[in-house]
This record gives sequence, C-alpha cells and structure tokens, in this order.
Amino acid sequence: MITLERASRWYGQVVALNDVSCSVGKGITALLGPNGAGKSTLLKLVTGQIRTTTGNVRVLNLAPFANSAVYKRLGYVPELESAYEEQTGRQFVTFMAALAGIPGPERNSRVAAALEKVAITAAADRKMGGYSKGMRQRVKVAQAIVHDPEVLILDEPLNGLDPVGRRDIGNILIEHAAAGKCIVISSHILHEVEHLTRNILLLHKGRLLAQGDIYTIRALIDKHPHKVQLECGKARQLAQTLAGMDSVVSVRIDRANAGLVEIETPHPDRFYADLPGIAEHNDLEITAFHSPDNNLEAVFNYLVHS
Amino acid sequence: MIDLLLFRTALRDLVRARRLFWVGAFTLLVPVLAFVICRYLHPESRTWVYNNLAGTMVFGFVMVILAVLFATGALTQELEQRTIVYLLTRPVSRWRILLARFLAASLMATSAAWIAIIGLALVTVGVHHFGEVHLGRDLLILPVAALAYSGIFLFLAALTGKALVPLVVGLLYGFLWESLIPQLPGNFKLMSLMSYVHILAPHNLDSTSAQPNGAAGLLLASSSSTYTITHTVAWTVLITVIVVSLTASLAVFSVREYVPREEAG
Repeated sequence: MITLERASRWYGQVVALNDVSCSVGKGITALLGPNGAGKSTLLKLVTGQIRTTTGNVRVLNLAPFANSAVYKRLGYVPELESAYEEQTGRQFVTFMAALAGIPGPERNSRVAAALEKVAITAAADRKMGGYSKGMRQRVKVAQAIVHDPEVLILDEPLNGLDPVGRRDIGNILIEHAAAGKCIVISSHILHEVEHLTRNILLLHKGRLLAQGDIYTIRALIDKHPHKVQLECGKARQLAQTLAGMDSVVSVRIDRANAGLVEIETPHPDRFYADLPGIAEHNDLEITAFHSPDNNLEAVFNYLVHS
Repeated sequence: MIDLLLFRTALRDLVRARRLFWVGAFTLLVPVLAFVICRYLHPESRTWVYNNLAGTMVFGFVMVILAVLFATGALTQELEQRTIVYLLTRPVSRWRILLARFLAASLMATSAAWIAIIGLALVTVGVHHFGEVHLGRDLLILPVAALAYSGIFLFLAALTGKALVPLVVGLLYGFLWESLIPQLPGNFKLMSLMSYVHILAPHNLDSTSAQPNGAAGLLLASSSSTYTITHTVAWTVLITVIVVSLTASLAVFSVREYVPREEAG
C-alpha cells in the first residue's frame, strides 16, 4: 500500500532521509529510530506534505503530494501538539470529518463514534486549549480515524499517554489492522510498539537499517553484549561475585565513582534472572542499576558498527 | 458546503482577541480623530474633514493596515500555530482552502474599514447630511481596494511561508512605497495602487497643491505626470491586480511545502 523507491530528502545541506527503499502492506508496521533518525521526514513524505529530493513515494499507487485522492483514504496523526485551542474536541473532529467529505447526516454519529473509540467523549465539549497532552493525543487519533481510512499514519502517537491511554490507542490500531488496514506507527521506544506488531522498519541517521520481523532484530541485538551498571556499597565484592557468573563477560569498577560496577553480558535475560539470588546469597545491597544499552540509540550504534 | 465551512472557520480564526484589539484601535482612531478636529473647526468645514480623513486615514492607512493584518494572518496564523498540517492532509484542494481564507480576510478588512468610514461620516456630517459626502461611493470602492491589497499581501505570505516577513514587507509597501511613489515626478504614480484607488474615490487630495515651493517645486512642476488615469484604467488595473495576485497566491500555495523547518527532522 506504501512504497518508497530510493527516496531521499534533503533540507539544504542536511540529509534527512537517504536512499530509502521499502514497502509497507496491510497490518501494523512500526517505524523505529532514535530522535532525528528521519522518521518524521519519512512520514511527511508518505502523507504528501513534502516531496522527495530524489526517488519516489507511492501511497495506494498514487503520488501523495497534495493529492486529494490519497487523503480521502488516508488518516494522519501528526507529532505536533498544536491544536485549534479555541475549538472543542468535538468541533475539531467534526471539522476534520467535514473536510474528509463525510456528509452532514452521518457526520455527527461518525464523530461521536470516533470520540467514543478514543475514550474522550466526556471531555469532547471542552475547549482543546485546556486539554492535557494525553487528551490531545486521543483527539488527534479520533480525527484521523473518523473517515475510516485505508491507510493510517501515526507519528509518535503514544507520547504523553498514560498506560491506559497506550492500551486504548493500541487496541484501536490492532482493531484497524484486523480489518485489513495499513497502519504505520513511529516511535523511538522499542518496547512501546513491541506488543502491537512484529513488523518493523529501523531508521538511523536517515538510512533504513533493517526491515522485517522484530524478533529477528531482537536476536541480532541480543548477540551484542549488553552493558549494565550497578551501584553498591560493596562494589569490589560485587564485582568479584559478578565476575564468577557464566552470563558475564567483563566487569569493571568505575574510577570516578567507586560504588559503580559496570558489566557486559551477552545474555541479559539470564543475568537479570540470576542477579537477585546472587545479591541475596552474598548479602550485597544493590541500590540502583540501569542499562545504558537499553535504548534504541545503543542498538542502532551496534547495528551500524556490526 | 465545504467551502462555506472553510470560510466560517477562517472567519472565526481571524477574530482573535489580540488581533481584534488592534483592529478596534485602528478602526476607532478615525472617528476619534475626526471628533477632536471637528471641535476646533467651523461646522462648514466638516465636509473638508471627512474628505481629508477618508482619503488619508481610511483609504491610505486603516484599509491598508487591515489588509496587511488580515491577509497575511489568513495563512500565517495556521503556519504559526502549526495546525496547517490538518488542512493540508485532508481531501480538499489547497486552492479552495486558501480562497476561503482570502475571502474571510478581505471581508474582515472591508468590514472594519466600513465601520471606520461610517463612524467618520457620523462624526463629521451626521446621519442627516450623508448626501454631502460621497459615502456610498466610498463604501463601494473600499472592498475593491481591500481585495487588491489583500491579494498582494496574501501572495507575499504564500510565497514566503513565514509570519514576520510578509508583515514587514507589507507594511513597508503599504506605507513607504504607497506614500512616496505618488509624490515622485513623472509617471511614477502609475506604480502605486493607491493612485488608482484615489481616482475611483477622489477626496480632493490633489498632490500638486502640496508640492514644495522653490527649486524642488520647479523640478516637480516641470516633470509632472504626462498620463492621466481614467476611471476605466483604474478599474482595469485594480481588477487585474486582484485576479493576478489571487491566482498567483493560489498557484504558489498549491505547490509549495509548508512544513515548519524545525519539525522537518
């Protein structure tokens, strides 16, 4: 339903998207990449807000730029928070529904259904200027689905949503995908979209790094030793204990912070499973731990360099 | 139906508190000024006050500045608040969106200018002596002038896609260019839109009467205009400006990208 053929987009001397070729069909596809990867640029190309510098973009077999025939069948949730502050959520969605060509008699019922779907009905008659970020996200999704589009493009739609909101929006997307629609959702947080789809596109610095099944990418990522940092009052004893673990390949005590131990493990799941038992058995109080690798930027760096 | 909806929404967008304050201030400025002047003049001079203030203040200032504010705001407001993306990704031709906003902007500029000139007439000659001044003619020419100026300023906004640039250029054009060019010797006045407006709505503001004396006066007199603008020429020029500027605005808006640069990552 969406095809990019060697699509590139430059802003002056800056390349935002570089020679990207891919195709997206029915179902949910997650567009992943750290901030500045080119996700929004790709989505702006697909939604016909900008043109490619070189290459082609086709949506439903049509060139999307300023093409009403595409917009009839496309819904878009932009990343921006801006809204018509003086309008209520209902007025805004009604306006969008009218522009989408939904005739008067059925417009109100379609708007009500869309607002109900995103669970914003109770606040629908309040001005959007007073909406929280989560409420704005819900209304943005409502305006995108009100005309039941075949293609739904969502730019970071889960930003600012609480867990309930994420679940609600996720359920809507799953429902649309089950109805045979094409959905592209961008995110810079891997786990945010993991439960929605297995199909991903990985973008980094404007280039398409990988495309396909999320578990394949996960497996690829898991080959890369993960770094984990632990803080403990008995750092030397902790380091000694961790060095004896099968799942740990290196241990280092931070020079600047004597209480900080950094390990590398190719099997993070096994390491995390074993850690509580070891800490308890050796009477080691771990006050904090985090993994600097547990973000997409680190994953992309690994993929780029491997 | 969609066009009407777009027009109504544009009107609502244009009536914002901050803008309304300035529009109200500019609109009321003329009647207030007239009221102050009339207090110190003989009642028989009131027609003269109307003509002078209608020509210089309503046509030469209020209408122009309102056209700048509304016509540039018609597009740049959507760009500034970044809501334009919602309009541009709906199955409505871009030119229809801009046309609706242009008409809304022109209506707002005209309405405010009408209020200013009606207020001026009420203060100067009073409701029973409207016949002493050409109020009907002025009410007819104001929307034509507003459309012409709005078309030019809308084109600037569509071309630049920014808020400040068309506003500054519009103000420079509206006041610097339109004030200076008609004063230059020769046929320079033909390059000023206001010259054509003043032909259709003359208020006895003959620029030659204000020419300086001495050497400069001799220079201006010796090189005065060799071309007289007729009514037909004035109508033709104004209508041409409206059609050309509007067509150019719609054409540019239909093909230009309007994505804010900072969101282009």
